[in-house]
Amino acid sequence: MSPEKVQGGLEPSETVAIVGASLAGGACITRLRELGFTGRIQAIDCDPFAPYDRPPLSKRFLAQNTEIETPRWWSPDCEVIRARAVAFDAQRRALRLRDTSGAERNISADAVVIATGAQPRRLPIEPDGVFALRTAGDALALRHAVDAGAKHVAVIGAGVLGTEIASSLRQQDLQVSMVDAASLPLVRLLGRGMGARAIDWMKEWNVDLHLGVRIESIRCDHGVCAVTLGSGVAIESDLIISAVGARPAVDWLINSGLAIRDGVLCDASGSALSMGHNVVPRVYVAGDVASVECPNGSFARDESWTGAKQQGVKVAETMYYGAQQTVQPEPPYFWTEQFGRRVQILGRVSENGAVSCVKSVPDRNGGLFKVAESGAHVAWIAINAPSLFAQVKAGLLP
Amino acid sequence: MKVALDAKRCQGHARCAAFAPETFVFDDEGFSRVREGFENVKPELQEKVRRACTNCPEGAITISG
Repeated sequence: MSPEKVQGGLEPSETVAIVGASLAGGACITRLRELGFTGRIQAIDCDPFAPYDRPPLSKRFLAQNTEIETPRWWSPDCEVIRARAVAFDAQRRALRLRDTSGAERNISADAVVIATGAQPRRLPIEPDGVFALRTAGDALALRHAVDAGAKHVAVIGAGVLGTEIASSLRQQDLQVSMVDAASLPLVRLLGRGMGARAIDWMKEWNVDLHLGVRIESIRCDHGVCAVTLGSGVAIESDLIISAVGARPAVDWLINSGLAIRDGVLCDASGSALSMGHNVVPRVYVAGDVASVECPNGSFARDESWTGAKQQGVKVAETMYYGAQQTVQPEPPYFWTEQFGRRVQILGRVSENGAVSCVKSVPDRNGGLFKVAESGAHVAWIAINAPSLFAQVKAGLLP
Repeated sequence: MKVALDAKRCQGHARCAAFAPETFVFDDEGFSRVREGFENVKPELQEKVRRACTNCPEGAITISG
């Protein structure tokens, strides 16, 4: 049964502007078209490669030199504007765009979706020449540097991105050193219990690990690079990659009138909030840039692929019908592939959660694990065990 | 409408079977395939199969026709 449109829903004569043509924006466009919206959709993105999927960039794109392809979630039934949004007036839904030549123009729309994602966080001591990985262009630059003969790479940051890059480069037979202030890798994703096991994966793959260290200085001079630690040890390499997290891309929204605090604040329907926390009519937020109101009144960003996809669909429905639709929320899902392990996480692992092995799959270096927090189940982790994961997903395991 | 699944791409995320359980099944290894006889998608299953396609993180599902 289809819900009824209420006042404020989209009319066929109206125009929707979507800022950001990545997963959240793309999923929104596709859902609007599925719902039957026939009006104009403008997708604004300065990334010359957009749309594309980001997860492969640190995985098979680096490890196996695969191509960038048009993703399944994209709908070509829209106008793509290759420009950067540099300012926004939320009340008037007016955008200022700057194209690659530097020329600026203003456009306005009947509804606007903010889906500008995130950008790499950089350490203040990083000199020019340090690589980061967020866009397809970044990944290509990194691949070219590897192809040009880099032999030894230093990766700063042992989170998901840093460890995936390290794994991909080890597959290409480069020597990899990894540096992090944290004493365990992957803590945000897997918690401390599983993070301790992940150290063994990296050692098994001969990664030169430097955990729990302070970085004193970073030098990058015409291919002569060094990360010097607080202990005085200098890790010399041919290139340095920084993977120390991402921050929401909100710089262009500073004077927009929207509430910004680690992302653009929005309610559970994806409607943007003003500084006074009132809903701004017909302005929506989705993906990594969205800080979404939770049932307990706090706000949180969900940096997962599935989260961005769901939020794009959700704002399309809110916008099209003029009111939030009730949808069955999916449990959080995240995955990573590294060091010969396919890791799948259903639920949200807490840093100090208790990990217990439900079933070991020793011949594949894997198994199925449960994570509990204060005695309550919070997440499943499957390592090289897709059949066990499928049973979990189908609700066949308690 | 026809649906196909590229087994080489499937990584076992198990999302297709969650979105369209009638059409997709798992093999013993936990990877997905199209259930035999469901390659031609019946009208009442088409929306679910479309959703499974756009929600596959590996782009393993292709819809044609």
